[in-house]
Amino acid sequence: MTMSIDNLRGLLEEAGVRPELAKSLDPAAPMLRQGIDSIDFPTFCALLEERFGVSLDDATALSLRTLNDFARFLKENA
Amino acid sequence: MSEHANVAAMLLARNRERHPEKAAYFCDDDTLTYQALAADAARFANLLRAHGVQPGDRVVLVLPDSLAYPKAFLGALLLGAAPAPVSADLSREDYAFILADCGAKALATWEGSPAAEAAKDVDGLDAVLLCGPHGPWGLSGHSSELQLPAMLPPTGAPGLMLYSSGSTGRPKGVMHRQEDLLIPAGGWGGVLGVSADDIIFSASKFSFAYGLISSFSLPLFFGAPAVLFPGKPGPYELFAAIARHRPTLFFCVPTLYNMLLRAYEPGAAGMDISSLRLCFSAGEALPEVLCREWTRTTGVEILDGIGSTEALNVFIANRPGEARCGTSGVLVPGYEARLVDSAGADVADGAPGDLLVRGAGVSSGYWNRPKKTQETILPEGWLVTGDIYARENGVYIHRGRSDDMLKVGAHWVSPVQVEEALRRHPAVLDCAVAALAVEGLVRPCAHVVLAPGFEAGQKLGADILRFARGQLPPHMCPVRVQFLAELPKTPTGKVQRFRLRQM
Repeated sequence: MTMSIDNLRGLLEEAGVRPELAKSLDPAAPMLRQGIDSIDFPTFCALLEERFGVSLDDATALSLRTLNDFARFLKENA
Repeated sequence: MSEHANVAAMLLARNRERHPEKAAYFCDDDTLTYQALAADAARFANLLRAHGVQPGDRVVLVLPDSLAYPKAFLGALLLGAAPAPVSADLSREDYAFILADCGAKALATWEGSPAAEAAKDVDGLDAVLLCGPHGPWGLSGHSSELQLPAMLPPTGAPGLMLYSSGSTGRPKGVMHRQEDLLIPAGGWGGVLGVSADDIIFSASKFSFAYGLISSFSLPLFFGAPAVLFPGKPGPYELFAAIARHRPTLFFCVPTLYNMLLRAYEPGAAGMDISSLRLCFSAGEALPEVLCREWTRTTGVEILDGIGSTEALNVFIANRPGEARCGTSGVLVPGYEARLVDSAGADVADGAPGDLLVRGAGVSSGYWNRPKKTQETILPEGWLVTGDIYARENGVYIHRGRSDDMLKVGAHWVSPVQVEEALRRHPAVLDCAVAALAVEGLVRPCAHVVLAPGFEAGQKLGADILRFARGQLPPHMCPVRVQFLAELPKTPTGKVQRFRLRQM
């Protein structure tokens, strides 16, 4: 499934991330370096699993760092 | 009186004689030698005594992991008082409860902390010692020699206490003898092959049993320096601390390993982990995939294990060179285990059963909670862990919990407390919190029955998640809201949270 970066920003907001943080994330840089914390990340992952029926407990999922990584993962797996 | 010697005096004397000028602790830019640690621990004991603290009294420690911590902990032990390290992240209400519950005689904390605020309303708390990174103000004015010989706690009094979350949300004091601190060194420390050549770094804090053993017992027993990290452990900060202090042994918890692995870029600036010879994980089960990927990506072996505050601490662990990802490993020397069914009979190999453990370091009981002690520590010394395990050829594999408690980010979470907070949201008529596996790790999931007039939807779900974040500490916040028409209940109306688990 093709997900735009803006769609992913919307999902981050839905996961409870502050809108200004979600909007300002550099899609090519690690999310954890930009203020996404230890609650945001699993909440975002839980939302993606629920919404797109993907499983994020395999080795590939553990290497997803950036919004671009997630967009590519969903394109290939969802 | 106990037949044992004062544990603090023994550990300090051994290191002072062996290598007085060697570093005992590193913290940021500071180094504390064994000689200086012994002197300041004695000063701390003298300071406490000057404030009227006696053997057997409880001394609550609410401090960041700093050089002040081992000084305060050892100082209380030298006096025969019971240090009670408590997490530095609790609310004023929690501190008020704990200080009153244990009848604290003294509190060591930082100026303006919620614990210092709470102390103002606690009767009998005579001494509030405000500490900087190196210890309380005025410490240097006390003698570096003990004014009285090191003492032992009175018979029956705890040597130390640790607070652990209870199923009702109220923390309970877990009592231990001073000598319990040494048991993990001989057993678990032997498994890990700890020696004076190691440098130990625990991301788990001093106030948790796992952190206490990793940052206190192992380092002082083996004469291995330890790194203390005062801040909130985020992945980049931990990598920076590892690159700077070059530890050989790293102790951490699965949620943080998950974040560290996501952040890890081999060869990147500030990510030199080449000093590590071994990583250990405890606090919750380490997912098999995370275990494998960590070792594959970093090249450093990671060993999973399980311990508890009551058992102080790790009683089942993988062995270096023989790690089996997806398992907790085999028994640590000094502990015995049984897996039993609901009638208390031992189950067959491979079948799931309730894990009971027994060993010399198991708690003598909960402070002022005889009923809870009776339920948890059975006759003949068997400790009911609440964990379900299967055993295959001596290897233990975690199968979940037998109660509703959740272990999230190595913290105990009582569903009751999360549910109480969620019910304050106007849309929530009723709710139940149960475990949800995300990336193989346990997270709280809120199952919500809506009040009349509210409609289930993504926006309302997000609003409830945000509301919870404003009410609860991070590890207690649900990561998902699921709407239900009604909660599963027994005929008597008790919520069946186990039916809502998604593991």
